[in-house]
Amino acid sequence: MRVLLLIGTRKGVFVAESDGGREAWRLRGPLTSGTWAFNDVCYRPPAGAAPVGRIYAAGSSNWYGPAVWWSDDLGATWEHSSAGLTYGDAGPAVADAWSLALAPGGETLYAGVDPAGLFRSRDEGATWEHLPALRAHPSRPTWQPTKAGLPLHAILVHPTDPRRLWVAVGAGGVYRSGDGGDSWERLPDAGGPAVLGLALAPGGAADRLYQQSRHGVYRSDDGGASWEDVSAGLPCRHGFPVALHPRDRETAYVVPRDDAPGGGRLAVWRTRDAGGRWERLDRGLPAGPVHTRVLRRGLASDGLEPAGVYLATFSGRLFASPDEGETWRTVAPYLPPILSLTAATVDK
Amino acid sequence: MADVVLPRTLVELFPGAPRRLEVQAPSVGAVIDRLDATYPGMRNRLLDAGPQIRRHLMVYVDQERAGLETPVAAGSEVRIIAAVSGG
Repeated sequence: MRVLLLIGTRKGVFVAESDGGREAWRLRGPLTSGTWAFNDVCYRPPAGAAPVGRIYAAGSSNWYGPAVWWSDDLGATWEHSSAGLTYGDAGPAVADAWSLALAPGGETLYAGVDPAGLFRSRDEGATWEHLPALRAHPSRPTWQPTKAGLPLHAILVHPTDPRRLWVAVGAGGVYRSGDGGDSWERLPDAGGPAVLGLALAPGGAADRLYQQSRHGVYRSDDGGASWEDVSAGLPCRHGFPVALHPRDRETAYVVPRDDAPGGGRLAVWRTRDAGGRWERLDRGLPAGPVHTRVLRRGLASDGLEPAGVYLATFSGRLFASPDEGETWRTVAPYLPPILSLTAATVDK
Repeated sequence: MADVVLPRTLVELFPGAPRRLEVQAPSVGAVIDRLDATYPGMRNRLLDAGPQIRRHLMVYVDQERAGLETPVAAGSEVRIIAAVSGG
């Protein structure tokens, strides 16, 4: 059993690797070209007899535009494509690839881009088709850019019903589809349209979502049709990421902003009762002031027991907790700015 | 045949692609199409919607700034440069 942290940075993809103990880590990278920035990285477990699965990474180069990259040997060699990842010659030009999601079974891959739109690949990333219904939605004129642009920055696919999708747009709220992206419903805002982190909780009959927005942390137990404010007890309503426990739908992690004069303190906050109470987790994190941020995909969990939780900063420091957030250690201190983080487990 | 020079940051995306190669094509656009036939996907790295040459790339034919329509003669040098500002 190996645990891989797939790290998308401003200067290429890095991989950190450990055994199931998750105490000692070995870092490799940049494994892609270091002139590309990667906004999202995901892992498709192996199908059939393949020894390892496939890493996908979405990003762009200032020179060469956006593309989705993939590696079938855990990052040693890569291919990439943006065939079809376009709104056509009439534009607008696709500036960046921002988000990835695999449908259950791993045969369909979705990519979100900036300016916001959703694309689908049914041939493992080699070619892409635009799903036009989202950009045709009558609410599109209300979409507003954020400092990050106007990306489609989050895609969620239901783990057992691949027709059910959720996406989040820049400052344009959350949309839900029940038919694989052929039609969309604009869900009500929880606090406002500037959603930053969005996650679908495991298990349960009803679809439970958590979101971190500019306005607070919210939970929905009806697939996003209504939202409950669960920010009470956090030191700040504003943060970027939300990460969930791999099995316990009551447990979620967030990183509230701390802009105290002179520098804030780095801490992860955890709830074990779906947002009723929050506890601060900082054992092993820097005790002194830090001058950095944790971006919307800078927090991740793995699938082991106990679950590992991982924290990555925009100043390029990566932390791991092998015990659900109780204690932390530094995995890598001096990476480029980290834009995304995913944990994968590999049997071989 | 024109002598085509590619930026290092481009050829590293296409294993086996050389920095310098010979291509027979009548225009810059046609040179790029020929490159794409040999190295699938290279056109999308060089051109944006329009199509137009990506904003931070520059193409020179015999040291003159060129566009997609610029003719390419036998013996010409076609040099594609990644602007320093792009990094």
